Amino acid sequence: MASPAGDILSEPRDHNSGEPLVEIRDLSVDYRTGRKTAVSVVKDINLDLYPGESVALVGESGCGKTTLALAILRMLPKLGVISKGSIRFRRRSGEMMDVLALGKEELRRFRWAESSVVYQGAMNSLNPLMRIQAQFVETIRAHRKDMSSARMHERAAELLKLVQLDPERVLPAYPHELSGGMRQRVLLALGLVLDPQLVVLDEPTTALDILTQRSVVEVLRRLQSELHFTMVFVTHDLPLAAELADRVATMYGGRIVELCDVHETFYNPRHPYTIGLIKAVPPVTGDPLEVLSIAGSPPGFGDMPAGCAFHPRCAFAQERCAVDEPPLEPVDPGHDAACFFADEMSLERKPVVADV
Amino acid sequence: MSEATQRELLMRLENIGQVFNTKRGDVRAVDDVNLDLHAGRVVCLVGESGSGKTTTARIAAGLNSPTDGAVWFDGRDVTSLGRRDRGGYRRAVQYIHQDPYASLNPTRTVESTLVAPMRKHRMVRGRRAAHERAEELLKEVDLTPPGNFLPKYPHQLSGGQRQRVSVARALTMNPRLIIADEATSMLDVSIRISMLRMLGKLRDDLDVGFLFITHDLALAKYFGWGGETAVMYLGRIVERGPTARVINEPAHPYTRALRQAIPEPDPTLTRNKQGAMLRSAEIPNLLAIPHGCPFHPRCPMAQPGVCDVDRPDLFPVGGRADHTAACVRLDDVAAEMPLSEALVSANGEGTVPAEGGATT
Repeated sequence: MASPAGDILSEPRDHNSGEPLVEIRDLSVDYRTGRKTAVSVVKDINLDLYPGESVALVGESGCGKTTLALAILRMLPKLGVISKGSIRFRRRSGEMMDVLALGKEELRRFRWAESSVVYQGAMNSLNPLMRIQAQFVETIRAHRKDMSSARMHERAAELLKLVQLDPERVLPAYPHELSGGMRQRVLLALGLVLDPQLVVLDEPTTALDILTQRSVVEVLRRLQSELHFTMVFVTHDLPLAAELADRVATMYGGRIVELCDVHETFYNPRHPYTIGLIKAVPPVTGDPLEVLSIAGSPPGFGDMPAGCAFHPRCAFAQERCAVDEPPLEPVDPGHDAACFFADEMSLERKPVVADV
Repeated sequence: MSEATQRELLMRLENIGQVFNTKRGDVRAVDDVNLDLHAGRVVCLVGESGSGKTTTARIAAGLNSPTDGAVWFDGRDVTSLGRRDRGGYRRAVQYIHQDPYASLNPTRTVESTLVAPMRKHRMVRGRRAAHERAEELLKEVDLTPPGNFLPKYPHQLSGGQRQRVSVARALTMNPRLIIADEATSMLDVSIRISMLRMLGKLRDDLDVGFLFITHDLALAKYFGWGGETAVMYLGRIVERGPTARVINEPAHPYTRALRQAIPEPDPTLTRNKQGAMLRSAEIPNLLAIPHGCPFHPRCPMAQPGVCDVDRPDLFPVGGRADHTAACVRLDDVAAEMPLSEALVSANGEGTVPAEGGATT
């Protein structure tokens, strides 16, 4: 089935191939802290992203999840450097390109036409002085010089309808005239206007009201099933991952410590950190469950503990954990975890009768 | 209810209203709100932005004076208090802000942040006693050893540590009532829970009462389980009752919509929640509050000619005096807006692949 957006702007995509859209190998990112000093923020990431799938990067603040997401698009802040590894991206033509080798102009084209990013904080990403209409036109014109103005307007209207906004009302408006949820959906539409193959979202629903969050989530889910783009989203909110992800990558200390299907993540997690994160979420439905916090906080990137980075906070840590770093290895088919004792780990949540 | 009434009543908000005069007209941010706050008990105030929950909290804390109604503290109208008693009220009621990055003075060390108010209000005698009390308070909020934290500036602390310092600062006044306005919403999940645990300790051990404001029903359920929850919409309370009932068996269509909107840490359950779609995700403007039931333009159950005519009062739910909701169609809610657990167990139009639940 051709996607509604695909047949307008580009030739239909090949959805048959089981080949990854993005291949990330041994990727490390450093942040420079001085003229000759740097801290390692993301380390040895191996991750394949498949066409049409949705991958969540979860973890506490300071675990490197946003850095990894931005590195895929080479959108790191000035001090961030990809120090090692490779990122390969399958073009629509099927040819693999080396994202790290792209020149400035190629990178610019890659960023909107093949991929896009939707940032947290919808107000800061829209130009407050431009009507929504103009922001669409500017984006389209920069990449599709041959498109007529009428066609651009039509395209913008189509996308806005897809995110359940009324184009008549939204296109002539300035960002401040729209609510937070509407702005977030405008940004989504803008990110999709050039029909990218990959969309990166940083905390897509944070700071939105609950009912608005829900509508953004539903719009995202529908868009993805209709347009078949690959989605990577960063969130600290585990329930959002349960809601939207096909696979979940748990990050800690700059590494992926667990990677598996979303159902495995929530029903059969094997890394103590993932288990800890899930146990820290109070559920809304049903009887209250025991809610536990993970003692301590994530290590700073300057002073990463030896061995497993999580061992100082881990209730199951043994001597070995302070010495050797556990590799990310399969524990079940399609389920990788970086813990020496992954086989012994399981999630159990006890109901509580009393209060806190 | 019976337990609550036995507890000491700290504060009563009676028919509170707040109108803000703006250039574009009068905004009724809070309308006819009644709340009782007891020692050692939690009242959760839940709602979206613009529901009036923060304005209500500010009124309770004495930071806003209401345009209607009265705030009673220890049985006295706070507007009638003399200078001395007013000081006592302001000390006994402490407010914890949402953003610990903004609420701490960046040029003060933790020690100075804690000692200054104690000295100013003469809570302690002498520098040495103040220092000791500051150490004690840091232990109380799990910042140990205190010696490590006293000389630090806010920028040297993490978000969770800063919020603990805000709590310690509130505790300098030996408060009897703490008003926590989204106090944990900026914190990471795991830190959030340890923070709530700490607040729970104050509630249970020191008998501090709480007005706990949150947009997150899961947190209200967790922190306020034994207490009361009031749901606000466009300035009014639309449902109230024991937390366990309001959250597990919500009666008002709005509360049900909120319940259904919250994602859960369970893929099968959460993906079945999409049942209850509102007619609009946008909150109406406070300048033009809809006629009749203010929720009717978004309510999937709204009946023309009924819901858009009169504003419903709070009616008892299932004949209970302690659980009320402002809706004329309460009897039909369960059938027309089923909750997700019902959907899951009925295994209706679930969109989740079958292998999903099998692994539990």
